[in-house]
Amino acid sequence: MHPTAHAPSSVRASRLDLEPWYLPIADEVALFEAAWQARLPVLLKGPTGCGKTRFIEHMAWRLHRRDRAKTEALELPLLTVACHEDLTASDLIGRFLLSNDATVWQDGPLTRAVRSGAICYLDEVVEARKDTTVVIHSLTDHRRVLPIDKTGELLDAHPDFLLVISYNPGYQSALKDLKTSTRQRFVALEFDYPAPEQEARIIAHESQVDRARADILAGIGQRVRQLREQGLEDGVGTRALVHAGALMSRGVDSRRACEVAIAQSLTEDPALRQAIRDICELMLP
Amino acid sequence: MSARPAPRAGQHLRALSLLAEALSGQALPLALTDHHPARVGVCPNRRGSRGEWVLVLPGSDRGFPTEAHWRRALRLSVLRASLLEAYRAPGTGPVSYAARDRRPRLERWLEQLLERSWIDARIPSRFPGARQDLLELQRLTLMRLGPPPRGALRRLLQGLARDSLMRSSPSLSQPGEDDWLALLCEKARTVRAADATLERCHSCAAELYDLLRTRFPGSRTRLRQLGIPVRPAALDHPPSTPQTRRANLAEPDATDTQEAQDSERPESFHSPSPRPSVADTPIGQARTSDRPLQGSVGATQAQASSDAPDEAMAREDKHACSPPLPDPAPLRSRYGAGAGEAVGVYLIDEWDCHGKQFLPAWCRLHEIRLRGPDQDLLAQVRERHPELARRILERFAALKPISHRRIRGVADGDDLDPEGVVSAMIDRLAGSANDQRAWVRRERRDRDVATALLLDMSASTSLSLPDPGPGQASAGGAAPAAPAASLATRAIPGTRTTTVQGALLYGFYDDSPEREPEAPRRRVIDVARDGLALMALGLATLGDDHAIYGFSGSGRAQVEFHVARDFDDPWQQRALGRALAGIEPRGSTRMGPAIRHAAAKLSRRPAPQRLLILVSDGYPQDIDYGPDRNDEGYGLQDTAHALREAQRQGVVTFCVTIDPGGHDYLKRMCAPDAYRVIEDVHALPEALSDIYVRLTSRA
Repeated sequence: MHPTAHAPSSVRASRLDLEPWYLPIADEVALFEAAWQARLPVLLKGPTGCGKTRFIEHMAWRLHRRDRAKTEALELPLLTVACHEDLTASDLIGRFLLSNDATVWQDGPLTRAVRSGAICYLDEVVEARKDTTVVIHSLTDHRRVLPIDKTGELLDAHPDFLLVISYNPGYQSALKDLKTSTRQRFVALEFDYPAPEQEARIIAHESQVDRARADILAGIGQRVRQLREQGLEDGVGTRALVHAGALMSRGVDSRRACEVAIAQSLTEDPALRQAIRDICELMLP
Repeated sequence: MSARPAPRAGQHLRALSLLAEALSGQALPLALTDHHPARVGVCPNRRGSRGEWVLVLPGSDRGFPTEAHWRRALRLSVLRASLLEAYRAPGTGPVSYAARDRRPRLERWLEQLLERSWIDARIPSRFPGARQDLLELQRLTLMRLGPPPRGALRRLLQGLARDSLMRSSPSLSQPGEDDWLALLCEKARTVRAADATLERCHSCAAELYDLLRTRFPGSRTRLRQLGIPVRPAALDHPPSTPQTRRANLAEPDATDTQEAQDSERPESFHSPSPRPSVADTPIGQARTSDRPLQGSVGATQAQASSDAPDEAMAREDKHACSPPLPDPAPLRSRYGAGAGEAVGVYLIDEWDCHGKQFLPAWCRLHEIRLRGPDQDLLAQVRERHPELARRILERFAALKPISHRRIRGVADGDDLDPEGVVSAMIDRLAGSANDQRAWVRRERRDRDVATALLLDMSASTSLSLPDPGPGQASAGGAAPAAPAASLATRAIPGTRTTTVQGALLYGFYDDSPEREPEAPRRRVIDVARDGLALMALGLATLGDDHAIYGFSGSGRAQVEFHVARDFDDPWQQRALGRALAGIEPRGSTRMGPAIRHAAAKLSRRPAPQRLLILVSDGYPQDIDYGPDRNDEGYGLQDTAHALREAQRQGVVTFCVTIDPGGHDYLKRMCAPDAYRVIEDVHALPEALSDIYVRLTSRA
């Protein structure tokens, strides 16, 4: 019996053969490249749906695919772990599996990235159990080592290894906030929603909707975000606007598309939903 | 054919306010007039005394073909007002606009008309979805304008209004007036040009005003002859100067502020006078929910501040322009020696829904330890409700978790599970895939919940209750029965209370000839106290972290936060009984600060699940809860905001009310699944335990 590759649904390994499209908003690309060259771990902050995950995919492609010879390129340059409340340190580091009549060690996604020199992206890291944040401490300072208690191994990180975490400050409760001692280890890149013109370009590209309707969707997004103080802490993400555009480009009526992709998905507050519905109806032809 | 019930505008007001905020980028308080439909769309929206936009629309769908038409008209009106606010230069927002504009009313009316015309010209391109609504409302407005009125000036103004709503020039069929109207309209149309600015509207209004002044020169007698009402006081105004040049037509009148609000009436030429408002007070943006001062109850503001940390002092200085908190009356002089022991004073912010900002350190909250007569109240409650107490304790005991649980069939864990290993080997020998989940993991499944029970102890809870029905003899009736003990209005202690809609006259119970004289009637507060006592027993059985608070007060300087049990208190039945016995009705219901204070205490608890249960008997109310004592909206908005703040701190909130009318306001304060209205007060104790079990069963 061979140990099966343990790949929980929360882990995604990306080959990134094609360039993930990303529209730079400010200097985040240059900053990330500089951080990577210095091997500084990076913290991506920003509201949901503003493009953090797409950004890291694009950067992984850029650093491991575009800027490298094929012979040097990693098979899996990016390992993404969607953290959740049941995620333990073992899920990141690895575990023993049964194989024939023995147990065999199976690396977790973090260990694999540390060995191979890939980028390990821990999405919404504060959602994970507390013990997970402890294991990243030794990886994010000058030591760059990963202690694996179960095997007694002290794994030196590959020179190309980079740890990136994401964090949504407005979304977390006080209990789930990142500890200062953890935060200070990272270079923090703050993301926000793009300006309307840029956001319209993104919507048009991603959803294949025509530019006129993409402009309207960006306008809707801009206005709905004015309601952040009224119970929509995260506003509406570009992702939700892209979803609305994707429905439109597939023949769904514009109002109906906005209803299901924006108004219904954002809130259960009837007044808030009505206000969002009004915004959509006023702006759509 | 039955008449269609008229929907109330208030139902839509929150959604419209949110729409206005989304469109304008700022909080835009809205109010609706209840004008006759004939005025719809004719009169520009105006600013109220607090800087709010008053939408000149009827408060119901009367006069509209359908409710949908009415709703769309409201929406369009919000769009107009919001866009104007978005375009307006900083510093000329609604407050300064309403308070500082001392120009003649006619000029302001012209300006508002032109602004509306200007914004209407821009709506179709920026908001294509509003194009049809705009056309419909303009058509409706034109239909309702009616025939030209008496008086040349009125006719000209109506013609100008017509021209702003239609593309073809109106005709007055009056000799000489058509030329004047054409001249006015030609100028007015310039604001509809694509490159016109808002400033152009204002200069054009001044030009039109000057033209009209040229057309209608002379004294006020002359104006009267033209059919224009003139206020006598204006005749005493001094001769014109460069600054008061335009006062010939319209004089400011500082005495009649109500009249000044009717700026949509072109016939009434009086400028508004500034009126003091809450929003005029400079207020900072910073906020702190819960800032303790190490003072004592009864200390003055200065005394309290002098004992506070530097940061608090700095904060006081920053907001020194806010009206100072009045000195509170000493607690013991208000409630006597049984009022309890004061343990701290806190300054709490309040949400001003009119100014859409926090009023920093607005309320002084006194935290008081409750202490009643020494008695074993908890034992007495168990004796009074034996069956109910048994049920509640059993239910709570059933929630008690097993301290450790072994989870089998996991992919990683503390030990290999022999059964899992055998199963995996069999699978392997049989050639089928196995998922390697052959481990067992021990997990500690402790409940980790912190709960604060917050009781409204206002005077209205002194209301005497009728006896429960036979099936509810020990307040243990399972199902809430007929609303025999329902409350519909807040009662003033010692008075007979009549429900408004419930047709139940409490005072009449005392006069009932069938009723024998007996022990003092139980009051709302007594039932609520029993409910808290039973909850305390259940929570102690369960071992959940909990605190029991009450609140009352009188004005923002005297918000009282009573502590029967705090989180870190040792659980002593007799001490808790004595504290609960101190729960008595007193003062009013300023919910916002009490919720903020309780939430701040909860947010400091380490438990991942924190729960705040608010038990009240009516809507938030206090002597100075908002600028207008009769304005329920202010307190509701503050309370709703406080609940949202608590939720942002990770606290789950739940409101329980025994007011049958609670649906009306609770749905404005909470999500539908975050409150419960209890029709029968006697069902409160059991309902509380139900709610707790439901909210924490997954903890």
